Amino acid sequence: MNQPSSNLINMEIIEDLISLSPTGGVEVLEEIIEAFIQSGHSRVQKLIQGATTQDAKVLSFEAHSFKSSSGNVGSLKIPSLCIELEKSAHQGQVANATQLVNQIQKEFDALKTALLQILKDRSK
Amino acid sequence: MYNILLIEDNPDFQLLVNKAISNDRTKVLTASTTHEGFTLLQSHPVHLILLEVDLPDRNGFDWYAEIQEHDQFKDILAIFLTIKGEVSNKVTAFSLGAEDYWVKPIQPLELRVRVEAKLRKIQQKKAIDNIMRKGNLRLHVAFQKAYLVENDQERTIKLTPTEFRILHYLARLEEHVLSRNQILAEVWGNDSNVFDRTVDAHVSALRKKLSPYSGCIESILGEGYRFLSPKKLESI
Repeated sequence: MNQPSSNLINMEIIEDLISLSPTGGVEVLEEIIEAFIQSGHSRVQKLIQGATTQDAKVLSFEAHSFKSSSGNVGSLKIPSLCIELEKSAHQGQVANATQLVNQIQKEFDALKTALLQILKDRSK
Repeated sequence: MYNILLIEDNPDFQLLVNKAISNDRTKVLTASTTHEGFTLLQSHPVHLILLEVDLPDRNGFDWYAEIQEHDQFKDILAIFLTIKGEVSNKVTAFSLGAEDYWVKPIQPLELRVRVEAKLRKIQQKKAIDNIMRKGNLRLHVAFQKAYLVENDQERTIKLTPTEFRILHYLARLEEHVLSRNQILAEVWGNDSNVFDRTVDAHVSALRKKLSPYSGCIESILGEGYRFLSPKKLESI
């Protein structure tokens, strides 16, 4: 079952992104969401790989970047998971990385669905 | 047009900044590394730098310290825009002379208004820098106004736009003898309906308005006009 958007996303940021469009349409939001989903897939794959190989450097770098990117589209959950992962990886503690990466992947999938739903609703 | 150099390796954030602050008077030049940033800095006039601290090729602080050593870049306002919120980093940035330090995430509208505020500051500085001082004469280029300073008081000289352009052109090239044709080309452009005697009429009117410093525009027989250097102007 999908989570409501308000549990996943800071809607104030979505409204902000919509207001960036000179026409008041969703084109800027759409472009930013598409770029986020595309880069998000790649980051999640790198995190999975980093957790599998227990590569602290990769985990730290990708978690650091994903924290910022997901915050840009208003994610309420991914940044805190990334902070936790980055902190652990920075200290060389990668044993629980797989569990955190799984959570990040799950939240990314939910966020993606919610963002696309918002886009669909706002495009009507 | 303002050029803002963004040095940031995260493509999502590059896009966001572009969408937030690009408009018909602000262009964002995007670099993913300090190396690319330096190339853009050398090839474009840059008014503001937005800079990440953690960059793939080197630390943003080190790069900023290095460009501060170049005379042509040291006056460009730089703002660190980074996810690193620690006080020690802020101290480093401000110690290096950064204009500001903004911590991500930053909402796009907030980013837009913050950047606009900085651009207004640049514009004000530019206006101050645009005052040309020639002895007792002040030319406020941005506002196209001329003043004479007497006894520490500024007196506005009411010039027409054409008179201001002539005076500005002559003052800019002080001591150079400028022919009527050169003045025509500079002030009127390609308007073929204007004759060289028109220049004489405007210069004559200009001199009257500059009284008692009329002599700062000298007629050079058979050649044209020359603006005297500030030292000479003060002694007139």
